[in-house]
Amino acid sequence: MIARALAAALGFAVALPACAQNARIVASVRDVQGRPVADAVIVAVPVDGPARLPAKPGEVQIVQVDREFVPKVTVVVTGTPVAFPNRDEVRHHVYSFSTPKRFELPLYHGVPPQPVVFDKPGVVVLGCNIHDWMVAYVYVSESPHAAKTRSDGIAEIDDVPARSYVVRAWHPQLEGDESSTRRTIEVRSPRSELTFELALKPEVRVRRAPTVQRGGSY
Amino acid sequence: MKRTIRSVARFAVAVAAVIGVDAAAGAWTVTVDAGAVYDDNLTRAAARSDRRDDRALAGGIGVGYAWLPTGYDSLALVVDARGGAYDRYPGLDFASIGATVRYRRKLALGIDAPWVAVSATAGYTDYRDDVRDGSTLRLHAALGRRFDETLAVNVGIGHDRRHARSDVPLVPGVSGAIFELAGSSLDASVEYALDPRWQASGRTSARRGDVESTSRRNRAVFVASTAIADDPAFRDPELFGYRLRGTTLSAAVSLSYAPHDRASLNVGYLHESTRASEGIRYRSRAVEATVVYGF
Repeated sequence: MIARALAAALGFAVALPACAQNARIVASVRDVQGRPVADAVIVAVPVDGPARLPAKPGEVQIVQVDREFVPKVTVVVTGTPVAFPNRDEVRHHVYSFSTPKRFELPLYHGVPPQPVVFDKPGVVVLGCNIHDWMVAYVYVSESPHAAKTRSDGIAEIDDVPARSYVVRAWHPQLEGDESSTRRTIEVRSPRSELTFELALKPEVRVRRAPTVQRGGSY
Repeated sequence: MKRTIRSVARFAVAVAAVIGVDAAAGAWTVTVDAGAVYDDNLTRAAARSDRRDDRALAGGIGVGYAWLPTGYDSLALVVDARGGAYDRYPGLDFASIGATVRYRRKLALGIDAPWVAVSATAGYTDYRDDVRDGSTLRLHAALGRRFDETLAVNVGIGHDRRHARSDVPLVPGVSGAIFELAGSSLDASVEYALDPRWQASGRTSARRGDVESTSRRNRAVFVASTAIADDPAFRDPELFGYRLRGTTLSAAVSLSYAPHDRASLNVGYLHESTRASEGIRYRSRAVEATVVYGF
């Protein structure tokens, strides 16, 4: 009898954290006109201390195809190795001047032998020294609870332990500072929802289209 | 013509040798364009009564290959074929073929890095009116910088030569090669992207050298000219072609809309003003609308 009671109590104790781990944050991001915003990054950071990052994050790829970076926005956790395969016939010369990760991959075809490890949190802007219009962003998150919005403006972050979080949003065209989007939420199983309304600047990018100055872009 | 093509070929080989071109490390570019242009003073005449205006349809295709020996250098060879047809003066209808070799070096990493470029363009243009037929050679050097995603400027210096096939003197002792022209120029241009689709640009240049002006006989143009010949393109027996030496100031503005990353719709306005000796001064204005598509 006592043994059964102990077993039941132990089973409950084991099952309780399992239930608590299965929360999902669903964030909806809209612009001030109410339109869904794609490629916005949502990050949830526990209020009571940093979340544990994976010991060895898996490699992520940012591909160069048709003289563009794909995807345009990539979310990784701190310490993630990122490979930059070039699937174009023309060579690319990838670089970043951003403080969290300065690097240069001199003109290359195929896949560079070593991935680039993004070891500090922050936003890293990528460019190509050959094709000035090519631009992409790597958001390096200090929390494993991060995702980017789809074309419907929805981002889903799974497997979030139920507790209090500071949640913030970032977008390449965000007007003002990312910290202004911060809000604290109590995440409860199975699902917590929140909405961001972001003021976005007009897109600024080197134009790719040809003009009447003939002779190509080189 | 052969001489100018040989010059461009030598230039290309020399640049390729200096920078160590890897033939497999490049990119093809193909650009086609078509448009309409209206010019209010095709004769480049000073007197209002001598001016002839017309509109034309013109188009072309440019096929290029750019070698990229490093992430900072490019060597591009572009072959252009163009043609145009005028409404009232078919003597000006033309077909041309040309080639440009351009070497460009970025002086640092990043979109705002300054760059330098040198180019040589050789071509041959065949007009329906044979007096205009001839080859051209243009050498140009430029220094430019993109300050950010929206603003880019460059300045350049150039030299151009046009060799006339026709040299039929009209006046004894005076050359008839009215389209044998040479000049040197300074230019500057600016591009400003209003947003990722719309772009405004401006260009100005000052050129000192030979120009061709077609007008009725008058003392001033006769004294100022270095060559005189018939110019039948304008179908007026009272008009003659004169080669003058003058300074041409030009200013052009254009607005470009890109419906997507491969194409643009462009409208432009060009104003030219030339001063030659003997108080000769003429102005011309042109507007054009062009569609450009890049593959």
